[in-house]
Amino acid sequence: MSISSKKKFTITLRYVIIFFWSLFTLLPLYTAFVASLTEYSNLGKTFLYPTDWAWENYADIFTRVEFASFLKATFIYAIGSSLLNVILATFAAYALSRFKFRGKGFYSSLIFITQVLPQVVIIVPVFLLLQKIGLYDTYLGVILVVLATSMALPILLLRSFFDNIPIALEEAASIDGCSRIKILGKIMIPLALPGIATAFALSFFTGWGQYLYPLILTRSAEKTPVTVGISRLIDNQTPWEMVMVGTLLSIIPALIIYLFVQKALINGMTTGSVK
Amino acid sequence: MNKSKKKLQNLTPYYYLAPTIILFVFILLIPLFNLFKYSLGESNIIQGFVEWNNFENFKYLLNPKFIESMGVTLIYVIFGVLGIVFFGTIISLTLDKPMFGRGFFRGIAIIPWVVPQAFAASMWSWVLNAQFGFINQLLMSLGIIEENLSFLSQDSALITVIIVRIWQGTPFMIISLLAALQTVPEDIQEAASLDGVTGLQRFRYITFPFIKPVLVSTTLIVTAWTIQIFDAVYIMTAGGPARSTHLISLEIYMKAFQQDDLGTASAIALVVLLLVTILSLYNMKEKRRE
Repeated sequence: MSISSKKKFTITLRYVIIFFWSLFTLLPLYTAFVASLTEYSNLGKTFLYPTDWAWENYADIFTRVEFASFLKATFIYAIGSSLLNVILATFAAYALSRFKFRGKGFYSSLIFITQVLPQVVIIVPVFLLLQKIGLYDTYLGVILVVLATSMALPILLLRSFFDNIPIALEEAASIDGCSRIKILGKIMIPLALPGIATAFALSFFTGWGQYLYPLILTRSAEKTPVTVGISRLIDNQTPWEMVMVGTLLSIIPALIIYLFVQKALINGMTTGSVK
Repeated sequence: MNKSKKKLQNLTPYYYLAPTIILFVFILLIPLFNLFKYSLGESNIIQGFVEWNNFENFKYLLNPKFIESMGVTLIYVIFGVLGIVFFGTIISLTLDKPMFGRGFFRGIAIIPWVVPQAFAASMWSWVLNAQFGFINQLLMSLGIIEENLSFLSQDSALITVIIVRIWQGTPFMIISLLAALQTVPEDIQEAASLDGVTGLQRFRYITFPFIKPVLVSTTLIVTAWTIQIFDAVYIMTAGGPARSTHLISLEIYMKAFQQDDLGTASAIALVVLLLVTILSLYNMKEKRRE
């Protein structure tokens, strides 16, 4: 094979592979879209493209289930955990990046391990703990638990961002009489803003998708998030068109944020993970 | 600088770390200690630890039901991770070099990463639905099958949840490997292709050595994550049919919250914790060695 025909073959192969992978990736989203616009009685009769265009499904979900309430709870979990996560991670990452202190290696190892602590393991004792301290069935309880098991990634990510900011900048400010906390607020945070945005987006996705924690750690209806609320509809007589409407409406906010921060997110993830 | 000020300076990093340390102690450390305590005796969800019971809880680890559950988990983890590594490598190699629409395809490939497990489960349940699902409808209308296939039967359910895991887990592998591939020097690759080295050889001798560290550590993390998958499988199959997808994570959940056997649940949880910690420590050691 000559070099040019070999090149042609390679590029064709790459398109074929990525085409089929994209089909596989988009298949569930597309079928969800089709079902979401289909009337219940016609489910399964049309499947390649929507024929009913039953947009009223998207309004019906708000009356047939407490969808607005689910969304509200999900927003509270997502915003609450990501805000706290970013604040705590900024301080922790700054300390790790700029100070030498006893126990630093130990702390880093602990943080590393929290990354893989299984939710289903933590949930068992945490359930009893939250009941004992009165945080069972509260937003705060769920948020704190989400926070504890997801703080590793933002910390590691922000640390690598801080590491890349030249220390000379701080020294200059310090000579000018800036305190540590001022340096952090006036110099480091503005410079690490892309990193902070990435960390926020990452924690937002984590908080947004929580299922097991709210399932076990809350009881009242108003604290049920979309994940739990929608998956509860799946049983023997599933109203699939409603499940798919709920699924899509729940995914869309995360997808929109993802589209906006895609580049920063991928760059941030990779600086965090490659290092 | 006087002495007390110096001491204060030395304490600064601890102030910055304090909130995360407090969180760590209260939400992780104390509960993990309690978990250990519950595993040592008869325990339930209302009272916690009740009384010492002579390692009764750990006897369940030899029960055929538990061993079966371990087997299911082992198959799930091995094939799930193999699939993620395989497709993750292929897709990242495909997207590594410039091509028309590369950013677009990369954007699509990473979408499942932001889809919560619960919704991956609801969508795939619909795609594979035995009556009305897309796959069944498609195969029917093409005349390939005459009777609906059941993707969540006793024989097929485990394969199905593995495929969903691959769908969901591959994007993280793609992101990591795409970054690692950037570290492969362009000139070596060009020299190799001029020398007539085949694509496979080039991967084996040039690309692979460069991406190996990232591949290994990402695989370890993905393995640790796959061991603890709960949401997607619980929603799709709840462990059935006939315990064919009864992962160890579901076993913990059901023992603790449905059978109110906190002691046994804690004993199993400790096993999972041990596995995940070993993986994580090994990963850290590998990272340090670099």
